[in-house]
Formats: sequence, structure tokens, C-alpha cells
Amino acid sequence: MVENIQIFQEYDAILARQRGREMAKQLGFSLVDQTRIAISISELARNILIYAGEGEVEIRMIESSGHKTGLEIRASDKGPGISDLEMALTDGYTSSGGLGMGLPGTKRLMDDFEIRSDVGKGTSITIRKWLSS
Amino acid sequence: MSASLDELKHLLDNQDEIMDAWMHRLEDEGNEWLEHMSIAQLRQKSQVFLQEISELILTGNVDYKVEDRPVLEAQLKGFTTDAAHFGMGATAFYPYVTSLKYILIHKLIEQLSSAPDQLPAAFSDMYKVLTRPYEYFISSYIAMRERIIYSQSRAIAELSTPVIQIWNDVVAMPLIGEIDTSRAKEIMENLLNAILETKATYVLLDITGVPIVDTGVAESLIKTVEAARLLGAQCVLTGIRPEVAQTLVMLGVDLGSIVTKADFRNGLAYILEMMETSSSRAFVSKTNQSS
Repeated sequence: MVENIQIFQEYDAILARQRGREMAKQLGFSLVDQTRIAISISELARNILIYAGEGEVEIRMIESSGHKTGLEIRASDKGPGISDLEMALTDGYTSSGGLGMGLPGTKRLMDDFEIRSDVGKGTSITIRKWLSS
Repeated sequence: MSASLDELKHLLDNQDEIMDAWMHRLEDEGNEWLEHMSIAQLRQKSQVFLQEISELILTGNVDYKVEDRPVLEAQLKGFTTDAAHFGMGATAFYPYVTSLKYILIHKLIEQLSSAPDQLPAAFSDMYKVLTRPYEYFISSYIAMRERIIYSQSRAIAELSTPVIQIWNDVVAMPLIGEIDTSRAKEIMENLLNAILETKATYVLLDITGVPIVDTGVAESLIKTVEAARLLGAQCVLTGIRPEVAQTLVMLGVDLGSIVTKADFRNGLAYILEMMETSSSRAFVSKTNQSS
């Protein structure tokens, strides 16, 4: 189960989070976790739009070595990149006039959070949520 | 003038014959247009089209623009409006033109049997002349659809941000569906206008029907409440679902500056209580003044 959504406009971000929510529901995530996943996708997709203009979100079902099931979301863009990752992950810090809670908030909502960013080349963020058995 | 054009001209000398063959073919194919009009009506419509096409070929004007041919343009606009009216798709024109192409190709092959080397050029001229109307049809059809979609989305946007006066000085805004940037703007504008119009001092903002509240939506809610406050109205936010509340806390979004109540009913009760307190206070201050 893999879903790839190109993000060009806000509507695509809404589509991505709706698909994410549906997939989470199919996998048996609780309502709260479905909401966490949908909101995380929304934050990442919105960031793509704000900072890079366009990019893509990939949502896939994964399995860990310990046979745990989960959902992995990768949001990537070829935008300007983030020069100071530590700042970007600080609560309340924003370079766009927003609330500055998107990235640090997403990190709290998810089990795993990995970020790779090269200035001038783009950003790729991978997040995971595991189904607690 | 090329030899192929000469052949095409010769071919078009007998327009009636071509028209007969074309209409026959459309009937045989069960063309979509015939579901909406009789063959006689379609023939009448096609007459102008075939005349225009013939004229273009006869004058050797293969690189024309539809916009420069007012009669043809009007005709194609008519086809577009009909197609949209009958609920036909953007490709409705394709089988219709293709049928004509088929007739012309066969006639050309017949006519040029002695000089087959001229066929490619003749085909190319014919295709050029017939392609423009088809392209024009598609683009005007899409433009028309886009206008319809735009006006519908405007209508939906207006419907989806209703403001209702539910009490003296109290307006309610029940929000339903996904909120994006443009809708957030719409919500704020509608609400602020309603506050000015109704002179409301309290606003019930209900988000029971909003599936996702991310930081973007939260931010727009905070701004809306703040703007309403500047106009002298106090907002009460209701209907935050439990899972949304939990997620908002984890996200770290601070809605502490907004009065929130579990549901619409509690929100209204709170407002009525506030109004009572302030009117009795006003009453007290009045009696104090008069004594």
C-alpha cells in the first residue's frame, strides 16, 4: 500500500491528509492516531507549499523487523532547504509568520522523525507512526 | 497553389454528396449528437460548418485562425453551448469531425488513384483545416466548464461560511468541512461583516464539522477571534472534538487566548449568562447613577 501525492496547491495537501487518514484507518489506528497522522501530513504538505512551492508526499504501509505494522510518510521537495535545523525544530520559531509549531509539533505527534535538508537542494522529512499492539 | 489543393477543390465541388455521405456515416456510427437532435437538424447545423471548411480549403487558407472566421467561430460556439447543455463531454466534437475526415480521405484516395504521390500533401492540408475547429471546440468547452466550476465553488464557499443571528447581539457561525487558506479568509471576512451588520457583541464559532485542525487552521481561528475582538465582539469556540483537542495539545498550539466550550449548547449557555451578568451590572450602575 503506497500512495504518492504531488503537492502543487493547497487542495493537494488536503487530499494527502485525507488519504493518510484513510490508510491509517484501514491499518487499524485509533481515532486519535488517525488525527495525529492526518495533521502531521497536513503540516508537512503545507510546509512544502510555503517554502518550496511544490513537492511530493509519499505514504506507505511498513513493517518493522519485530513485525510491527506502521505508516511511513515521506515529504520531499527541491526547495531552498533549511539552513538551521535546530532552529526549525524549536517551538515558536518561524520564518514565514506562522505559529512556528508545525515541525516541532509533528515531531511530537509521531514515533519517528527524520529530517534531511541541503541548502539550495531541498528537504526530505520522513515520519513514522507504529501501530501499538 | 499546390496540386493537392487543386484536388481538394475538385473534391469539394460536390458538397451535397459529401454531406450525404457524412450524415449517413454519423447515423451508422450512432453519433452522440443524434441522441439530442434529429438528423435534419444536425444536417442544418453541419451545412454552415462544411461550407466554411470548404471555403477555407478552396481559398488555400490552411493556416487560418478560428477567431478570424466569425461565421465559423459562432458556429463552433453554438456546438460548445449545445454540448455543455446536453451534458456531452469535451470530446463530443471528435467523432463528428473524424467522420468527415473519413469521408474526405476516401474521396481523396478515389480521386488521386492516378497520382498517389500527392496524397500525403492533400491529407496534410485537410487535417490542418479540420484540426483548428476541433482545438477551438475543446478549449472553449474547457473554458466554459471552468467558468461554471468557478461560480459553483464561489457559491459553495458562500454557503459553507454561513453566519446566523441566533439571539439579540449574538451571531453563530457553524463551520463544516476542510478549511484552507482561502476559506479561512472567507470565514474571517464574512464574520467581521456580520458583526458590523448585526452589531453583535458575542460570536459562537462552532467547529464540530471541521475534520482537521492543524497549525494553519488554528492560526486562522486565533486571528479571526482577535479581529472580532477588535470590533468589540467576543468569540466562543465550540465543538473541538476530543481527538482534535488531544492533538492540538501535543502540537503545542496555544488556544489559551480563546474562550472554548465543549459544544454549541454550552457555548450559548455561557454567552447568555455573560449577557445577563453584564445587563444586571448595567442595571446596577444605572440605579447607582440615579440614586
